[in-house]
Amino acid sequence: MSTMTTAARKLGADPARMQAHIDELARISEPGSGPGTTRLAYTALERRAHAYFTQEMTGLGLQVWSDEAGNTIAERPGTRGSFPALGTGSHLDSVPNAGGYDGIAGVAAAMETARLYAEHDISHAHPIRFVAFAAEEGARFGQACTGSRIVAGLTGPADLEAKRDTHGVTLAEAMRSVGLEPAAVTRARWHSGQWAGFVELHIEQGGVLESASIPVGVVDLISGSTRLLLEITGRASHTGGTPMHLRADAMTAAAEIVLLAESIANDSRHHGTRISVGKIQALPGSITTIAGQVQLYVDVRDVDSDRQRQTAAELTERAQAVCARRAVALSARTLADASPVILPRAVRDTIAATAAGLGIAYRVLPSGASHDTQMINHVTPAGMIFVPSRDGISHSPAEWTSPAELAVGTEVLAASLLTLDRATGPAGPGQGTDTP
Amino acid sequence: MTALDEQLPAAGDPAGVFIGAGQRRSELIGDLLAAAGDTARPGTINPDAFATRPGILRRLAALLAEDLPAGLDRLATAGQAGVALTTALALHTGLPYAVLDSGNCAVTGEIHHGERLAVIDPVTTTGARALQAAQLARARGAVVTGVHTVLERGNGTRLVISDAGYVLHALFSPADLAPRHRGVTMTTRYTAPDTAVTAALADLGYSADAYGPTLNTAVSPAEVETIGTALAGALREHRIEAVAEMLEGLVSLQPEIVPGSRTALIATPGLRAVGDLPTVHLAAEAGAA
Repeated sequence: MSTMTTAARKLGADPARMQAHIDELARISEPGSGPGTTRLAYTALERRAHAYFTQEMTGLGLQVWSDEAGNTIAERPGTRGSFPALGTGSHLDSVPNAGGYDGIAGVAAAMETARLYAEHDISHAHPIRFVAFAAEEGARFGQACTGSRIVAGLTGPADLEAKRDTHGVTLAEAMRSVGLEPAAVTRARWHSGQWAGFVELHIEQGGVLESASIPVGVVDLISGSTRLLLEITGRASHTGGTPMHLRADAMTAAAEIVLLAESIANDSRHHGTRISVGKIQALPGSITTIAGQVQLYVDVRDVDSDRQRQTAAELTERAQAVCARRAVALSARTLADASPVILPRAVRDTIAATAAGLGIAYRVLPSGASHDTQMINHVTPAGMIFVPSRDGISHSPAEWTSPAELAVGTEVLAASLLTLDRATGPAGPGQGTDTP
Repeated sequence: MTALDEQLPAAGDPAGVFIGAGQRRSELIGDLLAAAGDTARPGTINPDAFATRPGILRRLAALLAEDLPAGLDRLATAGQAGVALTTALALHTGLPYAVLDSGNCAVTGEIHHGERLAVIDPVTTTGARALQAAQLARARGAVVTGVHTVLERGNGTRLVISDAGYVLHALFSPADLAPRHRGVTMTTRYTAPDTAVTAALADLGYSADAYGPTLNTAVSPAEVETIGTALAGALREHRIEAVAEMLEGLVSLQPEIVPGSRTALIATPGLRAVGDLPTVHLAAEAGAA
């Protein structure tokens, strides 16, 4: 006999069960790779993690399949077979020496939600799909969210041949190495008419929730990112022999530009802008040689689409002025560019109202990082739930969210999907439903 | 990858160096719908929901500014609804603005005799508010160069405003905001129409052969109505190219609707094969219009 609920209620998400998923997946890591978990996109290890997900979901009686992009999808049927699906999920690949929660928390939440629905024999009109996306991290190939970009139609077979890792292996070659055929990825596309909404649970990767002691974040904006390579060319020369006034020092110019970037991000026009230089390379790289060339890798993040590009342009132009004054040359190249996105109000409000209905405190906040949700939002209205990150740390073995916090976030996720199911007809959120 | 240091100095608009105009426009539409869309009332946006967001105002101001004529002295808006947007446009352009209260015939700010002035209205439905502002400005001696709006909602707004002698410039129409990503599907001409459609065609004096592509959206009846209304508006005004644009990528009209065709739109409760969803059928018959 199915259980019909009209109001959101807690289903009893189990912290210990969720921690077990986290621990099990953390063990699937490259041997000898150092601290933390290393499980890169389109490797055999990533496929093993997907196999774990498949096994768990099959065990719950769900139909599970993998698509041509390597995403794994498990479906729980709805009472109205013709209705489009609601979905939840995240990714299973990691950066090198990662923690155990980035992406994994969302897949664990999906697995726990499926288990809770089964335990309580919950019925829902829309089919609900639990997704483990492939290749979300941009670390290996310089492109983030590849699995979700493919289903959203943003990346196609030609793009897969163009991206390479540091060993020169293309995305396409990596896919073939794990039994996927890049030319077939267009078949994996999601069609908007077949989806009603998607919610991803993810760790915050920042310190806002922890510092406010709030257990749940509801994401309203996802930041965009414009990445630049600034190359400063001076004149390599002997550190001892060259008088200070006869130098064309690329390193000192670079230093001034790095601090310039920081000052722009901190000025009164830039609340919400973040600029970082995470990588610097100096040539010839010798302690006794004045740097003849320096490369700065700059990441400009913003929640304001035009301001993001204007900031990148301003940094480039003012860097040119710095270089001109110092008699060195500057060249600038765009490495990547993605716009920020506002997530649909209807989904966001549903998640917030659900959390409030469960008596769980929440904070509406932007995401500084890009996520699969950003891509899925091109297909169907999407939303995100954040859980706190201790000390705001991510992309490190010190990454941590407590099992209790994971469980609270999962309660909100499980209840939100059911609220969306009730609030939504064959259409999108906010439309009436004629379900019995 | 682009050589930024070469492209930027020549570019009037830095954002345009990174992202194409078409993509920028569709992202803005996506953000407008996300922030200010009303899923229960498709084809409209709530000005209060977007007017508080600088990320959206900045882009709207840049687009509106492109349509402003040279030699403008001032902007004006009717009442509180347009203040945020007009302020954003004022900051972008450097133009001062006035707020017009047609009810009290009051002006906040200044309007001087002989000034060239543009009226800004965030969302224009009947055109009444914009028209009253234009008339008040004219009564104060200004020359109104036109009315500028983000969204022109009503079918006849353009006519109401042009009948009064002003030109309407709109960034978007409801068809632009129709959520295309909701999977509008079309059945082909070769699917037999159901009895409701043939009966309606007969009532309208069409032969059953006139039955054409079926527009069926996996969304609400209200959205079918919006798209149907937009199609009807375009057909009524003989803007066949607008119809083709709306249906682009969804279906090709077979045979094409030629000038002189009679066209009809029929809404039915829907065909069982597509999940009982409401449907709009487009019929076209060559001959006297």
